[in-house]
Amino acid sequence: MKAYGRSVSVGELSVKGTTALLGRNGAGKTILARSLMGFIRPARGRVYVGGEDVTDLPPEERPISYLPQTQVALPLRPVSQLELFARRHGSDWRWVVGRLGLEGLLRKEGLSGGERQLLNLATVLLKRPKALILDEPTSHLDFANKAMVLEALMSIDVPMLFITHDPIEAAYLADEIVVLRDGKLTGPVKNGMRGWAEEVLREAGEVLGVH
Amino acid sequence: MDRVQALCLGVSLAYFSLLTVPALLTYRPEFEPTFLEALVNTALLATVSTSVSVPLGVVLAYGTLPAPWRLIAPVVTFTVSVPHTAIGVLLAPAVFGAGLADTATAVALAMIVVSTPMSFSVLRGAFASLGSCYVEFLRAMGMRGLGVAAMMLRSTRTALVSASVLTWFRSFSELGALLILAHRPLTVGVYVYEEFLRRGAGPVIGASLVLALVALAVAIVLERWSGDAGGR
Repeated sequence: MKAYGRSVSVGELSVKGTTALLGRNGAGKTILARSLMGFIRPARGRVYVGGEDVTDLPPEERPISYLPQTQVALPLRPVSQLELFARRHGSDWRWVVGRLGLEGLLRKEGLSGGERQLLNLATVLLKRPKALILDEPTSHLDFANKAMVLEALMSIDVPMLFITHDPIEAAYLADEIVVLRDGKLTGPVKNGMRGWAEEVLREAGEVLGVH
Repeated sequence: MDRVQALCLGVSLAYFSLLTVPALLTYRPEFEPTFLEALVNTALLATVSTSVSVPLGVVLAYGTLPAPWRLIAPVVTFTVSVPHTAIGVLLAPAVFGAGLADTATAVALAMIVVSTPMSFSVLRGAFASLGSCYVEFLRAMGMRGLGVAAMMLRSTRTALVSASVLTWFRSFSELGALLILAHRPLTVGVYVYEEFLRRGAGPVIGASLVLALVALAVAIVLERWSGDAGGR
């Protein structure tokens, strides 16, 4: 696929469980995410979700949820935001909030970056997606907020493509890791570094006083 | 206050003084009864114009955001760079052909044409500042066209108010197109122009100062309000 004068060659990428897409800044990770979502049309190839070919579907109709790289702040109170999209997709926002443990957010004014991202994560789950694409959802967050979001992500059981430039995050979350380098995708490799990542994050948390 | 800020203050005061001090030192303000008539006409027709220009600006701003449609934006904004007498001349065949010369409709039409670029530019900038991720998030959540636009408007309501006020003032201050299309009903720009030609600067200094001070007061309130709303 090509965009902004860059091309990304994917070959085949299959996402079950949690797959981390690891790559440096500018490697083309967001181009890949946007084309999977249908915002960019791939030059060649097809996109399947749960066996269904969605290549010709517009983003609004794809059974995929997407959390973009830049944090989105909708002009709604947390409860109103959740109610709006729960109504639209016929889902139960209280169940999602309970699942992610976000009850405390509901009455808050002025959410932190991490809280905003958790609210948006809950929102995208209301679509009842067959797959999730999260484009560097923690890249703008401090460690405490990052830890909060990563913990919430661990509790999600929807197939997830987690895009990141951070190998520790990838190792902490992923079942499999693919690497995008020089416009080419390599992998997947099974993640055997979760224990190491947990240890690194635990120690960092102790240093920063975040648990 | 650092040097740059002091310079800004100095330039601003000089700018304002140039417009007010020599006028006040040279002439004694006086007011003609027709000034009030012109003021009311202009305010009413500027309100009509704003009620058309702002919704039009919203639609055009939203519609020209995606990449392939950006090239349409200059088609809306080019009128800013053209003398408005020329805009009046370009509108003249349609207005005169429809028998609308010197009517309230002609005034409103001229105001709409010259003020729509204002609402369009302010709102387009506000929509663009939300970023493509904002739209993509909503679209991925199944929202389309009007739903996305409505959410963007709620997110940019401060800009919407600013756009409305600026559009109203742009309509209110129009002269060039009105000189070609409609001297009547009397509007403030035409009033000042006609009185100046008839009797010189002195008799319209008062009216001109009132217009300038009202506009200044509203601009200050708007600046302060938009700053507060933006959390600055």
